[in-house]
Amino acid sequence: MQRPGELTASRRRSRIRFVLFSVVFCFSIVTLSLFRIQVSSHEYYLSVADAQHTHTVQLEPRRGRIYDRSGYLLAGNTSVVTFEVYWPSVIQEQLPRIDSLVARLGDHALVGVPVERWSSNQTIARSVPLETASPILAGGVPAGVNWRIGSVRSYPMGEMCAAVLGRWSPDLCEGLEMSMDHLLRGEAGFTVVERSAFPGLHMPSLDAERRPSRDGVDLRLTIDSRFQTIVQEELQRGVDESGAAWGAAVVMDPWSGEILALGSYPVRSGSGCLAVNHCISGYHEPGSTFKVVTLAACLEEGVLVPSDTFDCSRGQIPVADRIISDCHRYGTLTIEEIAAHSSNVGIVKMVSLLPDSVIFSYCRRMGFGSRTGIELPGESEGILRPPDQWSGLSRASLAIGQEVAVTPLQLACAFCAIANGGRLVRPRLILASCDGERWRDWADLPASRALEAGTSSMVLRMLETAVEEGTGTTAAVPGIRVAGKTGTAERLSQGEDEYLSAFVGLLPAESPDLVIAVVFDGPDYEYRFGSALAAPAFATMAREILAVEPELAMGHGSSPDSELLAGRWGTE
Amino acid sequence: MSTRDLRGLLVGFAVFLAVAAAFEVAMYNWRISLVLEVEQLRERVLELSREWEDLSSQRAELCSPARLRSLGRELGLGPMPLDDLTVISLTPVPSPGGEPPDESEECLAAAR
Repeated sequence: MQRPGELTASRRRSRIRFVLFSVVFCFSIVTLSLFRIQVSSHEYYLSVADAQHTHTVQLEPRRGRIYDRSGYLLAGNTSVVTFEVYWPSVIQEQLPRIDSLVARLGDHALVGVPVERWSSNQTIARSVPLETASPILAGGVPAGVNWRIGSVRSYPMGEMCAAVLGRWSPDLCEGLEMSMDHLLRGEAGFTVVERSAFPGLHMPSLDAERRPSRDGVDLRLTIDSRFQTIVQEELQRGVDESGAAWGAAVVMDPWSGEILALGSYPVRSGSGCLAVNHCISGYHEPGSTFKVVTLAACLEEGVLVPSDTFDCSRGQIPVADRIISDCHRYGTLTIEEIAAHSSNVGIVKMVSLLPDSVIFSYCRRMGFGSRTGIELPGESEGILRPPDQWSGLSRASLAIGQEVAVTPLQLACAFCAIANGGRLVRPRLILASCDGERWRDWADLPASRALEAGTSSMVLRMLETAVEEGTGTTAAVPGIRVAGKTGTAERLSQGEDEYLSAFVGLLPAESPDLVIAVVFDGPDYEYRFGSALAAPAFATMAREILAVEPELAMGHGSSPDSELLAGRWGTE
Repeated sequence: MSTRDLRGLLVGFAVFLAVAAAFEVAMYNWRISLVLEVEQLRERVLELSREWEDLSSQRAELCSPARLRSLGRELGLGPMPLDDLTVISLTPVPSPGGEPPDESEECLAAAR
């Protein structure tokens, strides 16, 4: 019998079913949610969780160092510290400590004392040398101040090698730093750390992926820092003394094409950027230094022999509708005398023996009108028009170094062919590279045949005469036989005559081991001739280079038994 | 299987689980300590490389050819006059008359 208030069996069953259904329903929801979290949206929730408790730290690579040929550091990296304040974390009582920190940072601080409070993050000092920052960091920094160590590029030689290296910073890339950036910059890596409640205390994540950074490649250049200093200082002195607009010089090993020094002055433009490197850029008429091409072409083609003579017509010759003249009224001269005295008339008469196409082909064979391929940005190819664009005057003009534009580097390469028996070497700046394990030499660049060995040796002899008794006597270096050619180019600039003073020299003349090309543009009138400015600058450079590297005086291929003796002979 | 045996089995299993968990915790801690040690060493390497880089730059600045030249000038150490330089060869050279060289004499080849 049913008691009052007692549930009937059917009602009890329905309640049990309801509770059971509710429990099953709730569990189904939980199960579905778990399925969604753990299975279907697993990756998303995992990434959200990772983002909350881990942090990816970028691993910066070290930029590759640059050394000179003997291992002297030309470009390295210096550690610096950046200080920042996160103002929301700074309480009022900490302000005096921040003022004290700024005062200790001195000139490196970007803000003054007392420091004004900002709303968010503020950089208070940048590029603080590590040796200045270390004692500050060791003493502890106020809460809210963060610091990080970075690096900046350092150039121990200052501006002495800037014409070659350029400069690198996160906002600026110039010179070799730019052309070799793909090797020098390396590759950034990353690591994942687990966040900690304590600032600065992060624990590396055990299972997270980690990719170490790959440091930049170190480079060893062909540059000799001692020669570079000598060249750059002499260029600066020459420009300052003569009032020239700029000066440029190249020192090359004629056998390998290695560039031992490459200077250009001024190094920086008014804006502070790298000025034009006149060794490789710009368009300059070479003047009489280009006469070696005419000489070499005539001798190689066999249209004349060294004993031939030419009547120099008292220093004047009509060509097309113009008169080409000499500085002096020469009579009959041998080829050697024409080269030595740099007679325009004699050279014009010589070149008349050759067709235009042959002259043009010799210009090309000696490297003019095309880039040398040096590993620097912004190289010019010069101007060398093909014969079908020549006027009636062009052949004569070309023979004396007009109507053609070259770079000092092209000139140096052409003279290297005279020095090494006729091979046109390709200039190079990089000797070897190191990717962190070992140094690998860079392969020699292929050379092409420009002249026969006999021709180059005849031209070399003539160039030696030019220094001994011709226009290049001011390039003579005591104790060493020097060969070379002066050049003076004239141009009209804003209604006034301007000059380019050039000299390219080889030493020692018996077997050259060095080729030095020196060019000054726009000197004062009294310095306009190559013999007045460029040749003496060459002599000073050669003398000082030989003083620091006397073995060069022995010449190329000297006997291994040969030695140098230094001392005063016969002074007693 | 009696209830007693079942209880023993469960206790044994629980003990095994506890030991395994303790071992896992110990291994995890050991791994963490190793990783932290490696990180500290890596930091130390980085610190030393930075110091090496800084010292290399300072050394290069001190050895800069421009600085040495300037110091040399101040001390009166100019470049050696090339007149005082000559090249000698230890290889015997024939005398102008075609006679064999005298081995006892100092052999020469003047560059000037």
